[in-house]
Amino acid sequence: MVQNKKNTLIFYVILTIIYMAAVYLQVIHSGLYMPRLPVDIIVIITILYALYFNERFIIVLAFIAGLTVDSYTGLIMGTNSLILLVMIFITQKTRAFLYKNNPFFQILLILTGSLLYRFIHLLFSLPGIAAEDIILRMILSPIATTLIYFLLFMLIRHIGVRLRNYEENE
Amino acid sequence: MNKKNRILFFILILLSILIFVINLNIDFTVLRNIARAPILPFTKSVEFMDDIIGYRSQKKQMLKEIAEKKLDSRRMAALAQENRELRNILKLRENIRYDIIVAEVIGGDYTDGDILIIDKGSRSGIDVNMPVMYMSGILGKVEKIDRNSAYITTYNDIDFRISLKHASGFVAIARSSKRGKLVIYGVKRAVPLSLNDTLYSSGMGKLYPAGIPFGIIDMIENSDENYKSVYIDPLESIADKRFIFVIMQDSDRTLDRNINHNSETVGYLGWFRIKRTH
Repeated sequence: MVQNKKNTLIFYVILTIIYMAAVYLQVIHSGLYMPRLPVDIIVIITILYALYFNERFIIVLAFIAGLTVDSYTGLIMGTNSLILLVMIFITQKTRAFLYKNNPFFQILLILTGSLLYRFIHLLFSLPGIAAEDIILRMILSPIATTLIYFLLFMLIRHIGVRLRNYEENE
Repeated sequence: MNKKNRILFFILILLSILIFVINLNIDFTVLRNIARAPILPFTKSVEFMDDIIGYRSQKKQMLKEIAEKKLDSRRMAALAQENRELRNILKLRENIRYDIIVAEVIGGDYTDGDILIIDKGSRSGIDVNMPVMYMSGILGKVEKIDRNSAYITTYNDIDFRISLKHASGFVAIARSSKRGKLVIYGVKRAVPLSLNDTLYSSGMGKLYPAGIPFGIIDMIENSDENYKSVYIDPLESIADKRFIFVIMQDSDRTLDRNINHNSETVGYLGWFRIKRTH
């Protein structure tokens, strides 16, 4: 029992580290070396965590991460927390109706989340932003985010299949 | 979403809105700093890695610069040496009583040190049998000439002979001995020669002008009770020469007794050179 609790704790610590690494990528390298085309890694990871892990854990984590992102990006504190919490709420509500392992459902959720994320960001930075940047950030950025997620999904699935085959052969 | 989670969710939503509204009027510097804490380990680690990579590339760059500077310094030293040599040559040209041609050594047999090739030939006025010297003494003589180059046989050549004179008036012919040395055989023991005495060209035979230093007495060996052999160490070495001087003198001054231009060396038998005459 004690061992089980310890393992669970280690598991959540690892999840927290992964989440914070994603936050770090979001605030420091959000464009993945393409500064005008930010990829919302935080959206991807928040939705996946909301789909698969403990609700309370992801709610608290998203709130803290939102404040962290705000402190680094210079937005009004609480903006990102609010967006991420809303995103978690939508995910929680929709996953009851759809099969959560369906990749198309996940892609749809991420696309919606990214659009929402970019839209709110755009609202706050609208006065000082160029028109071409609006198109880039509003349309291309969610597409890039979804594409990145799709590639990640394919990669993880491929590794999973390989591992399963290896275990079966063993 | 169960009830507890829903309550937590709404509390956090309200808290976010509260922070948002308050932050519109008050700047949360402290909260911003605290909120940065979760990803500080990542930023610090990345900075640390950047520093290490930066230091490595800086180290590489510095090593490269040091190597370049060393190379420059060696090049400068070589240039300074060349400059010194050229200044000495200029000074020598002013003081020497012979006409000389300064030539650059462009090749030679550095292993045996018996041949040097220079970049001046008949076009520059160089002729066969002209003596060759450097700052301190005689090196050899011109053996063969082309239009733009000449072959010098040095004192290391086994056929090399030179008439030398001691300050006491003693004159003898020195011949090539073991590499880098010359020897005078059969000197009477009564002749007052001592170690480190300088020997000069005597001018006899008219091949080498008189009074040019050649070498110092390195060793005196008693052959028997009446005679001794005197070994001479030339003042100039062959190996490190970049420039040499060819002393201009009329070809009719030289007694061309031993040299047959129509013969060529085909081999050696001990000390003797085997020649073929055309």
